[in-house]
Parts: sequence; C-alpha cells; structure tokens
Amino acid sequence: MALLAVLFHRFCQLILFLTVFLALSLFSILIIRGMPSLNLSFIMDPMANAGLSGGVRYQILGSLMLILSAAIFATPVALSFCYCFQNIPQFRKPLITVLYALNSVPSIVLGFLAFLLFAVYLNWGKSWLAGGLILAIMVTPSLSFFLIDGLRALPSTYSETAKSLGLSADDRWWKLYVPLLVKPYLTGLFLSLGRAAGETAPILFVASVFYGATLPSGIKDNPVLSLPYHIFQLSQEAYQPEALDRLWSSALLIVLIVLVLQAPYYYFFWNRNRKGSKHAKLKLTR
Amino acid sequence: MAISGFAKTQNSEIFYLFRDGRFKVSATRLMSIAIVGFVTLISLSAFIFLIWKSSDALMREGLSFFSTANWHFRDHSYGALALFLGTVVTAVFSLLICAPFSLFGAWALQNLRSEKLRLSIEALVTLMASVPSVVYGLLGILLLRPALLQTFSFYGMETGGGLLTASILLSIMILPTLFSLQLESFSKLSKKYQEQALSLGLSRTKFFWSIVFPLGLPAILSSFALGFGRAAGETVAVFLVIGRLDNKLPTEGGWIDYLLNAGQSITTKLGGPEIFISYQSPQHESALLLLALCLVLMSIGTSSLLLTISKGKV
Repeated sequence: MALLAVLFHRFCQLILFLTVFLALSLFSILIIRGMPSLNLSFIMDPMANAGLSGGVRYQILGSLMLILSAAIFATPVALSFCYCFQNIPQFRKPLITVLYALNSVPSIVLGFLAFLLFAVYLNWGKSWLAGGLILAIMVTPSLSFFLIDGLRALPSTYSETAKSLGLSADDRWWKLYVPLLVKPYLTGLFLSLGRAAGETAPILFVASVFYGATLPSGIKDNPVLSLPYHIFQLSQEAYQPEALDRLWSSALLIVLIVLVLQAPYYYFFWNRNRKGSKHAKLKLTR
Repeated sequence: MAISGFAKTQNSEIFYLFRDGRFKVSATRLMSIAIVGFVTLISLSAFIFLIWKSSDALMREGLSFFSTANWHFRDHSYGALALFLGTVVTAVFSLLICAPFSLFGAWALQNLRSEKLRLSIEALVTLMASVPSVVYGLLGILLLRPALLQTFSFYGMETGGGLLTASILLSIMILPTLFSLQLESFSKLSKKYQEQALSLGLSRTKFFWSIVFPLGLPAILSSFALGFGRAAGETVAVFLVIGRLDNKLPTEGGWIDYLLNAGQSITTKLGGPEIFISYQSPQHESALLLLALCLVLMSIGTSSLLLTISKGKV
C-alpha cells in the first residue's frame, strides 16, 4: 500500500514533467523556427510575391486596426453593462445570463452571422468595420466580467461613505467607481484584446483578405490584411522553404503581440500569487 | 450584506423619471439602459433569426438531418450525422487525452515544495492559453501531422490529417484551461484540510483519493464541461488538421479506421467554403444555419451545465 502511494506520487510527478516539457518545447520550437527571419525589415516591409519575400507590414497594421475598433466599440457597451449591473438590481440576473450566453457562442457562428448581416443583407462586402464590430461582441462579455469583478472587489466603506455624503447614483458612478475601475478595465481590455488579436474564425468571412489591401479608405468593400488570416492561408499552401521561414516568423510575431497585450494581466496574476503565498508562509511560520 | 456597491440601492424604480413630483432624467442611466437594451435586442434577434431561418431545413429534412450521413449540397440532401459524430468524438477524445495530464499534473504541482518553481510552472502553463489557435493549427499541420504519419506507418497504418490528429491538437489547446481550474480547486482544498489530514497520518496519495478528489469533483467536472465547450467550438486549428472528408462513419471500416482517417466536424464545415457557395441556395443556407444553431445550443448547454454543477462559483 505504501509502495502504491509512492508509485502514484512519482507517476504524478512524471505527468507534470511531461506537461512542462510540452509547454517548453512549444515555446522553444516557436522561437527557434521563427527567430532567424524575424527582423526589422520583416516587420516594416509590405508583403511581396504571395508571402515568399517581403514582410508583414499591412498585416500588423490591419490586425491593430481591427482590435482598436473592437476596443472602441466594446468600451461603452461593457461600461453600460457594468452600470446597469451596479445600479439596477432587477437587471442583475438577466444581464449575467445574457453575458454568459454571449460568452459561450462559438466564434465561427459569430463569423457566419456577421457574414449574413454585413456582407449579404447590408451589402458591405468585406469591411474592416464589420470585423471590428464582431470582435467587439466577442470582447464585451469578458471585459464586463472584469469590470463587475473589479466593482465587487472595492471595499464597502467607499460606497457607504459616498452614500452618507448624499451623492446620487450617477455621481457615485462617475466620481467614485469609474476612476477606481481604470485598473481592472485596462487589465481586462488588454487581456481580451489579446485573445481577439489571435482570432481567425470571426474575421474569416467578413473582414480579411490574403492579398491586395492596404489601409482602408472607407467602410464598404474595404477589407484589411490581418496576421492570423495570413498564417491561416499560408499554412495551407506554403511548402517552399522561404515561405515556411516567413510563416514561422509571422507565428512568432502574433504570439509576441498577444503576449505583450496580455502582459498586464499576467503581471497582476503573478503579483496576486506572490502576495497570497507570502501570507500563506506567515501563517505557516506562526 | 454590505458588499461595495452591491448593497441595496435606494432607488428601486428602473426609470426614475419622476421624483418628488418633478420630471428628472439621468442621462447616464438612460444611455446605459439604451446601450444594454440595444445589445441584448441584437443578440436576441440574431438567435431568433437563427431559429427562423433554420426551421426551413428542419421541416424539410426532419429527423433524417440528425440520423443520416449524406451531405451532398448539389443534390440538396443534408444529413449531418457524420458532422455531429465528428464534433463529439474529437471533443471527447481530446478530453480523455487531456484529463489525466491536467488532473495528476495539477496535483503534482500542488505538492511541489519549491515555491518559485511552483509559481513559474503555473505561469508557464497559463501562458500556453494565450497562444492563438491558428498557431496551434500551424504546429499541428507542420509538426504533429508528419510525426503521426511516421509513427503509424511503422505499424502499417496510414494516417495524417484525421480525427485523432485533431483530438491530440485539441487536447493540447484545452490543457491550460483545465489545468489552472483544477489547480485552483486543489490548492483551496489542500489549504483547508491539509493540517487535519497530516495530523491523522494520511499519505499524500490517500489524502488525494479520499479528500481532495471527491470534494473537488464539482470543480473538476465543470472544468471538463468548459473544456468540452471549447473543443467543440474550436474552428481554425481543427480545420487545418482534420482532413475535411464528408460523410465518413465508423460503420464503414471500424472505429480505428475512423479515427485515423480524415473526417469532418460542424465547425470545420461552417469554416469551409460552403458558406460562400450557399449564397445562391436558400435550402443550403438554411441547413448550414441549422448546424450553427445546434453548435450554439451545444455550447450554451455545456456552459449552463457548468453553472449548475459549480453553482455559480466559477
């Protein structure tokens, strides 16, 4: 029995080792294969020769444009969700239900519906704005959850003091909660924008093309190039070594962009863990 | 109960336009109600649109949509059994592959003595979650597919892009989610019961099987439900490795043949070029929308299952 227990313990450790090995090899493969042709000219040059030469300048700009428009559309929506959650108790349950339902819709379905709405019924063709709007719908639930959790984490004395001073609900919202919500807002925004930056399925039909677009000049029929779509198309077609090198570099680049966007979240995550473990240690020593 | 702003608000009327006999409008409140109402209306109408459009295909095909596997859109016959089976099989197999890794790996991580190592491993595994799915697809198509081809050709079987490849890739993709959820529940339970267990002289293995596993079962099951929803809704990575062969059922050559060969799932069907083809034919479009509706219902079902299992604690 004791032997079995030790064996189980070792088995768990082996599994953990395999998991860590998997994660490390994933990142090291990306770095080893992607590093050689990732340089400044790759980032700054426009694509040439269908991915065989040149860089990914307009792909990066297009991706940034998509997530920027998503941020602009998602911000007021998430703030309103948070306001209604805070100030109208009757709305709390239905709002949470709506947010959970929105959060669990698969991205390809959103892409399909957006194609039917924007491309077929509104006759926009492929448009960057449609991509931004659909990414905003993807971003909204997680951003709202971040805001609501941030509100929940505030100490109760703040709102009690504000109420005892006679501030109305709107005054409390603008002068107390909104300034205090800036940190969770930015963390959640960058986390979900990082997720949105790597999404291919929603922009597959409505926003992105592989070749022949630069910066858009209007709304209708103005697609953008984007980095995930670029990788998606090239990975099905490219078997020449030069194209493969560039493909790996683009993959490394999108991972780097996502990690930079999500860095604030990981910083707070790390800090929270460190704080928690410090307290745990204090408890143990005492 | 005084939790920050969640304590009972004084004004319980939703639109307090009249107060003290005077007309009073709060611009912030009206605006936010308008925005929330607009977004809710849009999502509800999208859902109703989905039901309304897809009812056409449901009426025409009836139960044969779910029970036959003949998807030939040029002959206007839509039987999607192979697609449903593909989705469920890839999701279940990816869960089966991933479950031991996440469960036992998280338990071993919880038991590590070195705190620095523990935090770094946790951060490393969590970082895996932020790699975009298209990059996983790239890894699958360029590394996993050739590796599986080599492994199985040694035994005289041919494979490459197929359901097994898709399941392995999906299991890597859902690993970080399952791992971090289970680690969280394990660390909570350990903190709560470890002293008692140690003072009773339990070994770590006994502690795991008699306390942590049974008490953490709701969290574990809800993480599985979340993983199932993720795996069933994943498009791009699966699209690149699954092979996209229509109407393939295990009755033709047995389960092993089915798993090793190319298949098709709902998401890859929706992600393919058929969306553009369906532009001319309302029947085809309606059948595709019915597929999308089934996918939405499946993922909303798993997420509500998750909520009921964990009672809203996730």
